[in-house]
Amino acid sequence: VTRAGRREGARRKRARRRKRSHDFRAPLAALAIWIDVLRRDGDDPALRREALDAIDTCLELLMRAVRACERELAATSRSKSE
Amino acid sequence: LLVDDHPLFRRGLASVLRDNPDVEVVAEVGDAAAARQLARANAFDIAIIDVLMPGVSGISLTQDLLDLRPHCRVLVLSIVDEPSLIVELLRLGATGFAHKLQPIDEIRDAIRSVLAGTRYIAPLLRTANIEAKLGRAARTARLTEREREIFELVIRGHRNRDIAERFAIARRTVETHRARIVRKLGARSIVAMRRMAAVHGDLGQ
Repeated sequence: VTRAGRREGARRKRARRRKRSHDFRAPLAALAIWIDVLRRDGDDPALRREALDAIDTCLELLMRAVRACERELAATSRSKSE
Repeated sequence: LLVDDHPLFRRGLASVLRDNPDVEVVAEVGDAAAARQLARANAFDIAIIDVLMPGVSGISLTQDLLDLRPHCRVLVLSIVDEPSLIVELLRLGATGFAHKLQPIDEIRDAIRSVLAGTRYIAPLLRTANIEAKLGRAARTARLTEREREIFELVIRGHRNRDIAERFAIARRTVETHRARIVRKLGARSIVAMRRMAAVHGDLGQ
């Protein structure tokens, strides 16, 4: 493997890590903010419904990120064992 | 003005902010083009912007908003926590950098600080590294354009003679520039200048 190849590999790894981190952090941040809305304005039926929908979507995005991570880990261990 | 391409987060933040009697959300948009358009037509005190948006970075948006509305304040609110990015945004004129995973009350404090014109960096991101970079950035910001050009060549090991030839100026003039650079940066040797350039980030790359 050439030095340029190693550099490119490291760059890809960093980009992948950054994307994974983003996939988890973005819905987490939204989740935190909507829980705050719920705490403060949970009495308002319209806001409560909007907050619960948003929380549902955040959880779905987080589940998607978890599944993507699991797939990646499985692929890595497969390629290591080959 | 709220600018964030994640509608879930943006709407949630707008909801939270609407509870504050001293804050009015003028507009919330999901991309830089819409933000620029709004900034041309509307005055606002503070823009709360994300860094990672499709097509354009928060860096160029910060510049554009401050060009269009020089008196507005920019608070970057992001999930990114790379020190070099934080330093660059603050150097470009953003007043604060808050993290999306901070407690909401801290984000409110960040908005208040920035509105008051006080620099804000999220406590979890306020590292010695960032403070050092900002300190050095402030020093290198004092260099003139020519001094910055010469600084970059000096730290790459160019001799005075080469620099003089490159800019078609006298060697003596280069020496004068170097003396000024040393005085302004407080870096007495080339090694010290290189160290400064390395931590500063945008010079000498």
